[in-house]
Amino acid sequence: MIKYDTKETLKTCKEAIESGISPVDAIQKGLNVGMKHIGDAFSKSQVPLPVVILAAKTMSESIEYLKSKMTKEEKFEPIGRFLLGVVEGDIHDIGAKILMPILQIAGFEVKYIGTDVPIKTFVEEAKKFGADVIGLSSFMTTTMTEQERFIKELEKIGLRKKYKVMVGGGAISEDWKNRIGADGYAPDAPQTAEVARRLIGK
Amino acid sequence: MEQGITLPPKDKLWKPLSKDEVKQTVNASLKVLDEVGIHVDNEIILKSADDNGCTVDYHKKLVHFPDSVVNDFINKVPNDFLFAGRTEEFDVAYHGIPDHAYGVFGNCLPQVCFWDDRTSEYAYRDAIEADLLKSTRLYDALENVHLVIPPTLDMEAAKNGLAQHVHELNATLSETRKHINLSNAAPRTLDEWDYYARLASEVVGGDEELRKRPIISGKSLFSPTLRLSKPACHNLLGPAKHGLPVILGGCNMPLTIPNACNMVLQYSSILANVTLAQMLSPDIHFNIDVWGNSLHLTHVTMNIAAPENEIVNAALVQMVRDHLRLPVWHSPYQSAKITDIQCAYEATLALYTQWVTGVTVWTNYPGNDFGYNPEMLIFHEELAEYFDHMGKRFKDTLPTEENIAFKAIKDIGPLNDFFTHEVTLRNMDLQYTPKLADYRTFTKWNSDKKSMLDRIRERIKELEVYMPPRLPKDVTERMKKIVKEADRKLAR
Repeated sequence: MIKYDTKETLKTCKEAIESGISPVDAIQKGLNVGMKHIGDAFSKSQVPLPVVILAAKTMSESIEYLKSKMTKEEKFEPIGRFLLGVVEGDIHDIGAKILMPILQIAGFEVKYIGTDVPIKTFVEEAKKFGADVIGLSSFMTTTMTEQERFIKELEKIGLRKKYKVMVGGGAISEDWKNRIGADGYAPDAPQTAEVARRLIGK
Repeated sequence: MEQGITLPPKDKLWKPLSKDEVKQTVNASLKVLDEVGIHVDNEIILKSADDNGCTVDYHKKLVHFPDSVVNDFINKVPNDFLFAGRTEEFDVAYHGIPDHAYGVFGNCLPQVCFWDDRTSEYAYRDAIEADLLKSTRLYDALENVHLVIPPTLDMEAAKNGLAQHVHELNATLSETRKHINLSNAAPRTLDEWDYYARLASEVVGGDEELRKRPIISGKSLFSPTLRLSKPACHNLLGPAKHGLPVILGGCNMPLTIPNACNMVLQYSSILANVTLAQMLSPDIHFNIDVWGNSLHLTHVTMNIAAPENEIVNAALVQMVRDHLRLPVWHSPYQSAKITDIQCAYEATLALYTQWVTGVTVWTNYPGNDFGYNPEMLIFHEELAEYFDHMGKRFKDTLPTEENIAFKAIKDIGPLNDFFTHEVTLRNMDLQYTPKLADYRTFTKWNSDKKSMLDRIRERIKELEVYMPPRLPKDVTERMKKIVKEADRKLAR
């Protein structure tokens, strides 16, 4: 998996099942260990981004295969569900795209809803997806106020306590997060995943 | 009229590509526009493309350009450019591609990076209106800054939900007599453009006067390549509506692929931008901004001044000059976080590449990452002066009879000196004397041990008292009302 070789990884998963290793163990003691290694190396700038993205893709496909081999009693749940989008008026999506594999490595199920996303859509998608954390990205100074408006909207409709809200992007800071009453912020993708885990108590 | 920074003679510029390689790049770019197309997030521009012979998929918002359409429109681009100042003394005007370059050295930065005397450390904080006013005054004071992009943003206005960019333009107009370019670094709406035009009209004396003497201009870049976003579309439509010049460019997003591929993607975006702008308004005046950058895949930062980008940008400058025959802007920035050796080498390499390739307007972001830092602005000014001298000295470097001065060599011979020879007396004023770099002997330097950074900081303090001429009170009052109206109508 570290070599993002999906074919070989799937083959190894198959061999693991055939040798009696449970699918849950294969994920937790196999794939997760590999992804943690990549995540740690990435946070130290030791591996480039394409490797992380491809490894996350390999991991995703492998998990899907292993899930298909689970018995009814066996369960593999992500540690949480993270809904991610770029706020309305903003089309900068590189940060969000970098964050996705890092969150997956951390054990989250991630749904990315794209750029230029209105507040209403964030709310609807969060309900549909069963999000635990909602992440709003804003690269630009003029669109960062959408993050504040989103939090106010959640308060207005009585859903503020249902979700943890994280804010991020080029224009965002810890001060801003505190000012608008968001739950979490981090300056880079690896720290975002750590903060997200802490927010959901994992 | 602004004189500018002397560039090398046109036939001495560095051109990385051969004529055939230019042609291959053009052909590949046209092929991209035809077979791949671009995404345009605006119905008016899509319709304009459709009406002018492109194939448009309105559902996917894709435009495919036949070669003939692109070639037809790029042959119509105007040749005269006026970036007007408050008075003609501050105009930057050129016909075709000028022999001089002009300094901007700034770009809407959201933070300020400053040296805190109390803690003896650099500190970063969000920029506010006071920073914008102060920084704009500094830009107005400097000889090698010829055009101004609002150096900082007003983050207070942003956080208070006001019409932030209208506030910023109002502040900038009040503190500089130089032409103001409204960079795409801050996204702008069509409604905002109406307010920008109204503010600028107040300064020059009316809408008609603004069309004749445009004291503001816009900027529209693809982001990423092959995608013209909503704000970029507004930055085309807004200036077109008000008869203002616009800077068009290639990509404003990370690319990390072989350089020729990067170059073709950017050049196709530039060609598309030019074609669409011409379709919207045949009279629209534009220059081209070359702005390729790549995402550093390990550090995950935008490395605009990285070596792999600078070589692509050098080739793109050549493409725009030789194929489109238009003036070029260029905007690298420094990745260094404080004013140190990294900052100095990044700035020097960036400006040297611009000088040696013949970039017309040197935008740069003289600061530290996204923090405006006046120290780096002053350093850029020093560099600009250095390169101006290099440009001026080209003339007497060429081996003409006058320049070889054989008679002088014969007069002096092997045993005498040239100090008081008429040739030396005639040319000695050409010798460069830096304002900030230290050419003294070690002993003299050792008497005060001042570093270049010390002298930069002294210069900043000297310039703090500078105040540009004020706008008439009735004009500023009307401008304030326009800003208040924008706050009411555009606030979120």
